[in-house]
Amino acid sequence: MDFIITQLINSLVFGSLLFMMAAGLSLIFGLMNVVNVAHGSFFMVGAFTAYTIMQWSGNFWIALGVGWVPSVIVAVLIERFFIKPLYNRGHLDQVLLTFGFIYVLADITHYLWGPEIRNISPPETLSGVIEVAGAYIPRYRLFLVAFGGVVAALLWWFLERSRIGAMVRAGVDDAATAAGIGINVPLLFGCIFALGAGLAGLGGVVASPILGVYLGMDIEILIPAFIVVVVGGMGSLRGALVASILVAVVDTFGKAYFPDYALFMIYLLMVVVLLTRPHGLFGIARG
Amino acid sequence: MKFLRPAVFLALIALLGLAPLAGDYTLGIVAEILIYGIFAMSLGLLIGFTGLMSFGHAAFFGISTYTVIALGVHLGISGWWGMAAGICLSALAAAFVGLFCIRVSGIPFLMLTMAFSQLLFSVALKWRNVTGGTDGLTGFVRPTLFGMSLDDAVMRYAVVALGFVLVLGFLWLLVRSPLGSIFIGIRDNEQRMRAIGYPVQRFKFLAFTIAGTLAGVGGALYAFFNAFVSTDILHWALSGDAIIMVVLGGSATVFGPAVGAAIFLLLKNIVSSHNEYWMLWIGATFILSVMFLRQGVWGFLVGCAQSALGKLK
Amino acid sequence: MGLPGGLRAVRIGETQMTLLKTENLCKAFGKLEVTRDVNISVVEGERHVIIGPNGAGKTSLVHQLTGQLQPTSGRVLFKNVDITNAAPDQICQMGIGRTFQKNNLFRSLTVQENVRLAVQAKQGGWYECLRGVGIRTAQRERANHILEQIQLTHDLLRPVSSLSYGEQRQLEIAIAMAAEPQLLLLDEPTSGMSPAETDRMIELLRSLPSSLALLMIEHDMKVVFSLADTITVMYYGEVLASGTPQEIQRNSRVREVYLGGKH
Repeated sequence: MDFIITQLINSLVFGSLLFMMAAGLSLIFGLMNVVNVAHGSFFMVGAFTAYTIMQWSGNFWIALGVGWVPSVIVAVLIERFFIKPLYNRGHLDQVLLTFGFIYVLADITHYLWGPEIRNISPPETLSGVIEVAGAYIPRYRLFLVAFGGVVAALLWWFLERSRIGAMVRAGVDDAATAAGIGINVPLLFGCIFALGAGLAGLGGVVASPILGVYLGMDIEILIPAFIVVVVGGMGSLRGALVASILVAVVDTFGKAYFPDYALFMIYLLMVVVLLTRPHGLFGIARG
Repeated sequence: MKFLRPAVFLALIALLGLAPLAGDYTLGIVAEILIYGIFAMSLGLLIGFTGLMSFGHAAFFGISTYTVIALGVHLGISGWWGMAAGICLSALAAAFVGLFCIRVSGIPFLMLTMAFSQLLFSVALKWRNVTGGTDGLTGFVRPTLFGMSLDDAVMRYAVVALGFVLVLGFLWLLVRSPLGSIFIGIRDNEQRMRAIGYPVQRFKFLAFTIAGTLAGVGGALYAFFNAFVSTDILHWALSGDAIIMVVLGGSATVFGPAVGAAIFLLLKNIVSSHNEYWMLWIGATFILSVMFLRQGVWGFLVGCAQSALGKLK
Repeated sequence: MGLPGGLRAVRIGETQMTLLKTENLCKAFGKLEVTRDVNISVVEGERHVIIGPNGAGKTSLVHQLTGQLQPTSGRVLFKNVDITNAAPDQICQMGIGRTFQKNNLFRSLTVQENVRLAVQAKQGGWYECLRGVGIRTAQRERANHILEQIQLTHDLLRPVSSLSYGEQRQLEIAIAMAAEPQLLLLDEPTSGMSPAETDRMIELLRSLPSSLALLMIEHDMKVVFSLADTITVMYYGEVLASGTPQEIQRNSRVREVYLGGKH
């Protein structure tokens, strides 16, 4: 039983991270009709930034507070100078362009930080274990699950309740009309892209005590994140939430019960979902 | 204009024929370029001519390589039979994967092709006794041709060059055939193709299978070239590299992707000899290419030649 | 004469076979009903025009007739064969051609190639495509012939992008004609055209073979009354009225909806 509790918590941990990635991806796709495959790179930059901040200050909360900033800066530059001109070119070209950025950002990270694997310890207040129904769960993992939940709730509130959120939803429906009623669509797009990148960067910061900080973590989170987005349905935040948990559970329990087929499970999940519902569980069909 | 194409082709043949004079080391690089050229051109059929962006093409390349080497190492089967088997297996794999993936398009298609490729990668990793896992399979004995072993660099190169010319010729004829015009139509306007009576899914499936088979040709030649295989060959990074080659060279022509392969490998080699940041250079070149030279380097050159000749008329 | 939908045969003394027939066709997106119990018939050689205000569900109807949209209920029959769930390519091969409301051409190809592709589609199984290049000359000639009929004749090797809007609309029709359809569905063939271009289009449509049935969506009343043997008026997804042009003009409900003018 405690084994199951542990795996469940691990699933929620992984699910939280996936949600932070997938939410950004889905927002960017749903609103801007842009596909950004360099999203994992924002995650990695966040983690490396957290490491550097920890080196300077030793304070995890500072890392949490500003660790996502470099990701956002990079994202804004990429969006403004490279993606904006390509809005009309279609998904494939965007995939190609951002794919190039994966290579570039990976090497820049390599250059700035070197190839070694780094580690970050969670802050004092969040270290140690708590007993939950007979299982011993690291406090930090519980924190991460709660953090993910808070982010999801804030995102929901932002989109459903705030004025800006209404503008975002208007833009998703029809960007031309939204512009017609005075919404500054380019600015909105820029902000959404930055928000998505910020979420990814934040995810990297918050993941670093658990995953470590290393080159290659961009791809390792990207593929599951895209599986989540595709399974949940591109453009759907609800889909991102449901699919994050689904993919995380399948992956965690899959690795636990079928360690030989660890890599299999989430790919199999995606194959099954795509073949039965090509637009994902909650997807919107977009041109 | 009509003389340009045969002229370019003859120039290519001349270059290929002269390459052995450059010494074994250079010959090796050229052979590698030609092999990846085949791989890239096969993907070009999908991306450039049918409009299908596949992220799992390495699977069909790698299956063939593994078949040749595994049959040779485990069962002592000659490389030539291994090549035949490898190409067949790649064709079957492509048909199988294609059957599923063709049902979706766009990003889901990208992810699905990658998923199948990664599944194959997982299987290869797990199946250590057959594939050797990450350590790979060694001890492959290259076959002989006309009494000469392919261990000889020139002989090996000759086989690779022949393979390249054959694949190039086949693709060139294919895109000019009625079938080729259908692929092009699908890339241009899939909906209209359906509306005028084409069973589009069937043709996408056909394109996918043909592309996979040709990748298998490249994979078999790679087995002869390298005499070694590891699971790296099935990794999606190779699929990504192939996409870069296609777009860098130019996806609208048959030959473009081969040019892209040359640029990619030369750039990687040159940068690697100075520092380890070749990904930065390739990435940056690729980004600039997507933004400003979308027709690719070869596409750009062809366009220049056409407008220059147009002015001469 | 016992034809469904209240239609009358127009050519007295001839019996025509019913080509297309819908039976209580319905389409709903959730609670939104775009097609409600639509019954329409088209006979051989008939010029049947569908009119109605925007949002009346006309284009949705065409999509359902050509396999692009699955009806929620009801049937579509072509030459007495149920094509309700058929795929667009099968429907084309059976003899229904269509044009699109917004030009849906092969933009990167030449004018001739646009039509040749359609000619090639008609000619057979995919295995024939592996045959040599010589077959294409015959196809090209056929394409040129069709283009001549549609009055697009000069420099057929230029790219589609160099055509004027009106010429592109003509090309739309040429492509659909290449499949040698018995029924041609035209979705607003004169949309976006100047009066001069519209007149030319009317002439062109008049010159189409009389054995070819036309089912057309139109907004331009001049076009409607120049061409129609039968008019069906749609309103909010339903058939409001159907009959000869004279009957429709006298119909009070139609007058109400249209206020006697154009929409």
